[in-house]
Amino acid sequence: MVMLLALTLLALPQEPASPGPVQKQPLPDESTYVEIVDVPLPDHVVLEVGGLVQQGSSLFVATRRGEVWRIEDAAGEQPKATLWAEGLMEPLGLIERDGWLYCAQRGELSRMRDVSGNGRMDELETVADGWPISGNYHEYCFGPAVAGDGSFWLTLNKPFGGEPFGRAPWRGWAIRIPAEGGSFEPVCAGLRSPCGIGTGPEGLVWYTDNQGEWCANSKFTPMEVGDFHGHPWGIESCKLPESKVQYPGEVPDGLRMAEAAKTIPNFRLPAVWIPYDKCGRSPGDFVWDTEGNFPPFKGQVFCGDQYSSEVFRMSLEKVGGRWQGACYPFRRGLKSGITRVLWGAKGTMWCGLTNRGWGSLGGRTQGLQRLVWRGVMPFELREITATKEGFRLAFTQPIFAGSVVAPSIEVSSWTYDHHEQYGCPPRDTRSHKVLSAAVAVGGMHVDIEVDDLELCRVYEIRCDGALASSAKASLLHGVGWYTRNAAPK
Amino acid sequence: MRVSLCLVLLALAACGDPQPVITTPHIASDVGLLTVHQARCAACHSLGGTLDVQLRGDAAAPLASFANQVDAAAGLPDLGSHFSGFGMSVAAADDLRAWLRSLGGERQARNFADVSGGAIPRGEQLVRELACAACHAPGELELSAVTDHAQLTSFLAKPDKAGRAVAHVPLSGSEASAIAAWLLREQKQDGARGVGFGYECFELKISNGNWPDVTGLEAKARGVADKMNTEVATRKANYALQFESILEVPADGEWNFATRSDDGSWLWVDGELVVDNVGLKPATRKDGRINLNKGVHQLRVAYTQGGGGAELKVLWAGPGVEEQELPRTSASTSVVRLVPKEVVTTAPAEEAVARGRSLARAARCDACHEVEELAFQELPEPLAAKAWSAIKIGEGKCALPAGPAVFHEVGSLPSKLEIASKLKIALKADGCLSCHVRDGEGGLPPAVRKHLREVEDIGEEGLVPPDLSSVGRRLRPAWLERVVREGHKSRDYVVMRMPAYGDVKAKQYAEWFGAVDAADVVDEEPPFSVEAAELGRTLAGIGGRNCISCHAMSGRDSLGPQGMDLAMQHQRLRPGWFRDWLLKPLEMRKNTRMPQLWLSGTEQDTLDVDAIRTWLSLGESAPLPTGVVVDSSLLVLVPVDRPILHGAFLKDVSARCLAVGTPARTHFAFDLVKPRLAWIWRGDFLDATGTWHGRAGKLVEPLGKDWQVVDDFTIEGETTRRLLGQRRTDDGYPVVRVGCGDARYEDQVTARLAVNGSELVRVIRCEAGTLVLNFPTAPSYKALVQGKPASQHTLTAGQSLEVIYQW
Repeated sequence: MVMLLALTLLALPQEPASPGPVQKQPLPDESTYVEIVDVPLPDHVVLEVGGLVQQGSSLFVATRRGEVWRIEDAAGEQPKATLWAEGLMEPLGLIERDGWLYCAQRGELSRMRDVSGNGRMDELETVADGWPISGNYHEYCFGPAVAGDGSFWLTLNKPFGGEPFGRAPWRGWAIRIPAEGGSFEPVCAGLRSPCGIGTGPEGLVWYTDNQGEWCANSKFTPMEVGDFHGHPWGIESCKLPESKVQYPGEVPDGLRMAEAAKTIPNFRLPAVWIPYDKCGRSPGDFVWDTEGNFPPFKGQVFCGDQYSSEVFRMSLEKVGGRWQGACYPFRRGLKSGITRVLWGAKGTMWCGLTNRGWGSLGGRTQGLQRLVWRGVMPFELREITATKEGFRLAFTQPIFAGSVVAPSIEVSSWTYDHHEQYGCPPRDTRSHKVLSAAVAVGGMHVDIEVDDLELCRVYEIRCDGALASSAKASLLHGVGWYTRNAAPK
Repeated sequence: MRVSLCLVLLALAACGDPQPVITTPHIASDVGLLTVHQARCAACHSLGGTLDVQLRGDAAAPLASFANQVDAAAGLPDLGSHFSGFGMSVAAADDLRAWLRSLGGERQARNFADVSGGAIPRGEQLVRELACAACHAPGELELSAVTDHAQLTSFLAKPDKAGRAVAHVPLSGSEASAIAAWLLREQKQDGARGVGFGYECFELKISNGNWPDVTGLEAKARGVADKMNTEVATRKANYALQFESILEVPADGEWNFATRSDDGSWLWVDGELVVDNVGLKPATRKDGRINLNKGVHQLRVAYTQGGGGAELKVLWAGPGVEEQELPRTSASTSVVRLVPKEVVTTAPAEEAVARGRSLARAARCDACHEVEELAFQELPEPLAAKAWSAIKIGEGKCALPAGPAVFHEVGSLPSKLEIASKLKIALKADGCLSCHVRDGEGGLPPAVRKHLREVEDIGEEGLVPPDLSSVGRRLRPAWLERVVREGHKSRDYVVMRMPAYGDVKAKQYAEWFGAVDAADVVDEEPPFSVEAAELGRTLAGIGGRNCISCHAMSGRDSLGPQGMDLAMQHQRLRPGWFRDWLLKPLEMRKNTRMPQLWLSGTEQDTLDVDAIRTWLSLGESAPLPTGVVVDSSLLVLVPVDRPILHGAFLKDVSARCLAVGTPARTHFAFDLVKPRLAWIWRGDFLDATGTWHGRAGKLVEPLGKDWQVVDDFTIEGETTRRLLGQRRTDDGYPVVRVGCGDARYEDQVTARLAVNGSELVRVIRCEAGTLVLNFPTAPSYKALVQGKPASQHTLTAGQSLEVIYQW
């Protein structure tokens, strides 16, 4: 392929040599566009971040140590942290609503406020509880996310190992709590380690899951009442009267994904497979960029990874009534695993860090960092969308037409098996011939026609050879991974 | 008095050169009495009245206990010095040895032992730092010919078991082993050096980040390791490793040492702490530098593992050596083999034994030593020695070296001894004054003192054992008793150790010191009040009189030098002394580093000092003073100014609990599933490691003491009991809000200081509906409502119930 590309380039019309001496510029990299800024805090402030809320100039940080810290001037040079609440059980989410801070503790959804105004939480209401805990460390409870109807959604991690207080129902489930609290409904089953939970367009609640047993690969997907997302750990609970999920029966071990989707009742394929080790390893929290904080990617989703300490992005589209899309690299190099992300001031994103219990890249165990958009337009593969015959690749800047021709684009694909083993390497990997590449007028996108397309597969699309028409710069990242569950008619 | 490790045969009565003719010995001074006591004159000569008993002294060790160590060929034991002045012939000494040997049963075999290369130097260092030479003459420490390492180690660790020591200095197994190795250094066989790191593994509960006291612990495993890591551990949690080796440093210069450990680790070179990687924590690296000459140095690495992840890595870098894990080869260690002299097994000749027995009978060995041998007892008893009053100086046969000194003092023999005399004699006889000074007498000889090691830079007080002048006025009798009985040491900054003297002497000293020093002292404790206790706490803290700048408190380090822990001072010091000491320390002890902090001379000074006393009367339950540094790298939770709230899985309670630690060091935990009070306890609060370390999710148990599992009340309509939420009071206490049927109530527990500790006050406020609470009968603690055990109580909306928990 490299040789083909070289040949292609040789055949291109020669540009006139640029006049004058050539100034040597360092090659642009991720840091050219997005700066990573530390939030300096004293050693005794341990922010193993479970939740983030910004309220005026205060940033509230819920931590895995059961504390909520209030940080003033968090984006400044001398942030000041005070302990706002303590004694919670591993809160892994924090949102503000009606003057209350809501968080999920292991065993309850709570809401808190500081009535006296002395800088400390003094009122905590148990909004809902009643899902048991067996006493296993991995029974994390994430959330809440508020759905379009105002209800709260939580995801309940499944245990790994001992259950000293006995097997608990509803583990590996998503539960829904009405806005007024008081009770919960178990609405989706089959979750594994659903660290990220948030609300997307149309008020739909989405979650990320981490690859492992019965979760072939990390994923990002919306949740709808009655879904079964694949992990059989908690499916016995489907037989309980409260369950909103039909019992899927014994889950067959080792079906190809397309087959699993067809045969297992209510089995949901994810909107985006996030290929293991190509795009992080363990996705955490995500946010939609509805405001254009990172301007070229307005409307896309930004997600932190708990292992690779990077933020990657995802684009979504609805095809055949269901969401699907692609993921792309964005910014590596944070100092610890990212569990929570939150938009800060325009053009900035808070990244809450912790890697306790699993380890991560970056060298630190916890803390808070910030991504800051520098205001320089990168040349990026902005978005991959599906077309009937292939894909449309959209860019952030006009491309130099001659640099994007069919042979310079590499397309490969694979699928996974739905099985009990821990994760699944790509199965049935194929290289695809790009039959044609049509650059749009203006150079902002190219439509490619791809041979041998099949559904329920992940398509890796590389266009490293693309050059921007203005400066002849190369793409910052020339790759994306598209999950093609359905094709446009 | 010299206490021999090997052989001390004291008094012999009836042989030797004639003395110059003087008059009848009259004794009056304590010096004379002491000499009579030390020479055991009373063993043979009746002194009359109670003096026979009072001056007789402790029984010497049974002779049979020496039998196994007799080595005639080596001239051991050296009876010459024991019988000095008696002109015993070589043949007679051999006969006595033959008889002594015959008293033992089958001879214990001696085995060689491999000890780590660092053991002998460490033993030497210990012998010097512990000032062993204060009591033991160099010659007594020559033991290579008569024992082996295992036997000597076991004797040093538990000398009382061997039935020979009156008192013993507490030593850990590894210390005893090191000292034994040094004592037997002549048994060292060359060429037995090995490569690797000598190690010991101790199994014990690791509840904080400090190097634990492994005193008295036997190593679960010891040997030679290829790497200093956790592979040699005998289990996964709660252990300590100690590596010792001789480090071969290849070049002069500055060397960087580093440890990476989970949990704590420490590295010493030549006794100097180079890396201090203290703490219960995830894997953390700490570095330290030291200038070293090319050649061998003593290396010691210690490591602790509480629970969770375990890791130890030891690195070094220096001139010509890139950073690397300390390799077994270049950081070579040695194995030292101690090969004892073989035991002579041939039985001594019958005739020699018989001669020796007769000699011993004639010499009245049994006057001091127990002799169980029947043949000995069947020999005719020698003529009774003359009564003391009948002795004419010079005409007797006693030629003990002490003789002339005894007779130097002239006076009349008292009919009984005053307590002061008894005390004086005992202090000397028991060796107390070999180390301590009292009323200007005693203390360490300069040659011994110069080897002492300073831990804290606090001058003389930090180096030598305390002056015993007025000790009976200073210490409470029970504390004094404890010190003497257990060898308890209050001063961690003094390296030397107090020997344990056992129960009888402990009681005796407590009584005598009190009678001599404090007969006229009237001590009164200040009356208890919560306000005084709070004031005392404030004064001790930062912003008050800053006691915690120099004093530890309930095991928490001070901010500066580590002076004595304040928490024990109420139990330790008499109230009068306490007050005087705080008000005018320099008058109480010359050159003390204790500053005089109260200078106004007003009554407020005394009230302040009494308030501190009141605060300390709460002992380990005393609330910690403001400013106590809580190491945030440790996960042990220490409430100081506010309660600490900790959500956790509590063992045998539930996976949804709220534990509350209070500054009053009295703690409690709620189960939040069906909200109820689950635990109450005192002292240290909780180790958050189970909840905050690694993957966590461990079932937590309290630290501290007096832990009570609460058998809480039931409510009518129990099954609908549910958590509604929590409030937090301004001072940080949680108020649990509970619903039950149509009823709603708030449940609040706070700690309150009280005499001898503290109590918990629980208020249950009914907010709606009617509550019928049924408290169980006769729990293991007191739950009191208006002074009576809580029973059945009905509350309607607006009513509250106060329950006091005492235990």
